[in-house]
Amino acid sequence: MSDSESELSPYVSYRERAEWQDIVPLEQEEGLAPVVQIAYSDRFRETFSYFRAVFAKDELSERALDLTREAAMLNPANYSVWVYRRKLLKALDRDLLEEQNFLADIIEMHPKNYQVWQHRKEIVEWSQDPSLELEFTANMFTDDAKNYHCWQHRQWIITRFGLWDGELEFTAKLIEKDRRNNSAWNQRYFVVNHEIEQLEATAAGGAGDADETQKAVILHREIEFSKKQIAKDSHNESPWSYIKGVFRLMKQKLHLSVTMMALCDELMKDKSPHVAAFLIDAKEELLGQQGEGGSEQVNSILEEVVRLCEILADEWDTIRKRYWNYLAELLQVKYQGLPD
Amino acid sequence: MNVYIRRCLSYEGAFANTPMSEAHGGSTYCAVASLQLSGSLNKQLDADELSALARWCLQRQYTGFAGRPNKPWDTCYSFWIAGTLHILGMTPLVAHDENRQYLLEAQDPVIGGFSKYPNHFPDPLHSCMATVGLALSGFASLQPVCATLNIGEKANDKLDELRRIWRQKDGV
Repeated sequence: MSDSESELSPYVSYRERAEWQDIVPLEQEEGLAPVVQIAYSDRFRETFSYFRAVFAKDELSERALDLTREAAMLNPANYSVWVYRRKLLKALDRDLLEEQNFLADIIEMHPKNYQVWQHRKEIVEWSQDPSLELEFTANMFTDDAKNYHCWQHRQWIITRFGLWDGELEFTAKLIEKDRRNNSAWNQRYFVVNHEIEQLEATAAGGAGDADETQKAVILHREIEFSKKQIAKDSHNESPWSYIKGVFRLMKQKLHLSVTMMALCDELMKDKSPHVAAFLIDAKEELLGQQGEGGSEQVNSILEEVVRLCEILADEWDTIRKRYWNYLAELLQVKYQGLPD
Repeated sequence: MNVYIRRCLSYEGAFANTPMSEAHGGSTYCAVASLQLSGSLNKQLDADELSALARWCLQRQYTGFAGRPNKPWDTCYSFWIAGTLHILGMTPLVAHDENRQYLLEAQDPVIGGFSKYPNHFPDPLHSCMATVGLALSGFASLQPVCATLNIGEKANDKLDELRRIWRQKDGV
């Protein structure tokens, strides 16, 4: 029995309801020799038999609408119910705010169901009213701050209706609450990416320089933000992948960042695999620039990289020792022309 | 399809469900398997991207695998993530002992089956994924896996044979 079955009003069999006498319920086709049959409750079985009947007739009525509510509560994953419900809402010209309230309840009961979120998206698209959405998603995050559907919905709302204001602060708030919330860090990237897109869109002709300065300001801001979180726990993966992503977005080199390189040197004492991995990536950038095949400088950088891989394999990140050993070998072959 | 998949490549180096969403084990598997099945994997992702992708997948392992950074380990990711690694040819780099141990601990000792974590309720999805996950990590007599289709290698060979016969029939 799904959670919401108990939320439904006391059951009167459809068979016994006067207003449903004209409908012949359509049983589900199970085939000649069904295996692994689901043990439906009588209520479930009957509700869906009546659903199939009205669905087949394409009946657009109040009673059909009520029926879809019951069916959706019993199995919110049945997408035919939702498609039909949308058709009914349109045909009966129903109040969409009321529908959003219903959705708020059912989403809270089934927060990881695809169909309820899709339905909410369709209703908002139809009403063109996103005014409840940021608060709704923020509320959902208090129960589960990493709900994928919720983040996806929030991103859609923001993109679709241009509600970017305050989102950077929202991510900061969530990260402050839990710096390990990778979804919040992803959302921050989503916002910063938009900031950069805006800059690049407005930059034209002579404004090109202003664009680069503004980018540098954003990069600096994000470095400082990430640094603050890294300082609290350098073993947290999220800020590291985030800041590397931001560097990439800005087309900037890791090894040229005095701040980041100094931070890494300082944090080596924490024995964080992310610090070592960052240094490996930064030094690989350098190797890439120097070109391949054994100059003294290349060999020296390569030695550092191999040393870092060894530390990771043998001490700091032993679960991935095969990977770090493989990486060391790969880089040595690439930059020193060692035999495979 | 390829254009959309690329748009779903996240700054983390793995794939999200939709552009700009969070990189996730499930969508990563779907993206990589799709690219592989359509012969597009090495055309759509360059060496650096494949490298970053492999690293992201490998970093999901603690003992078992998780689907996103800082999320709990869940037996089904021993398929989604380890399966992806298999497609990338990176299976030798997985810590198989630890993976197998985690999966076996997630069995229900009374009714059988696997759940997402130890001491939880078993279900068909996790039972299937954990079994394939064990096969990918070379457990006992479990058959080799064709990760792109989540079927046995033997079954996939049979499919290839059927395709060959059909082509012959069609004179292709």
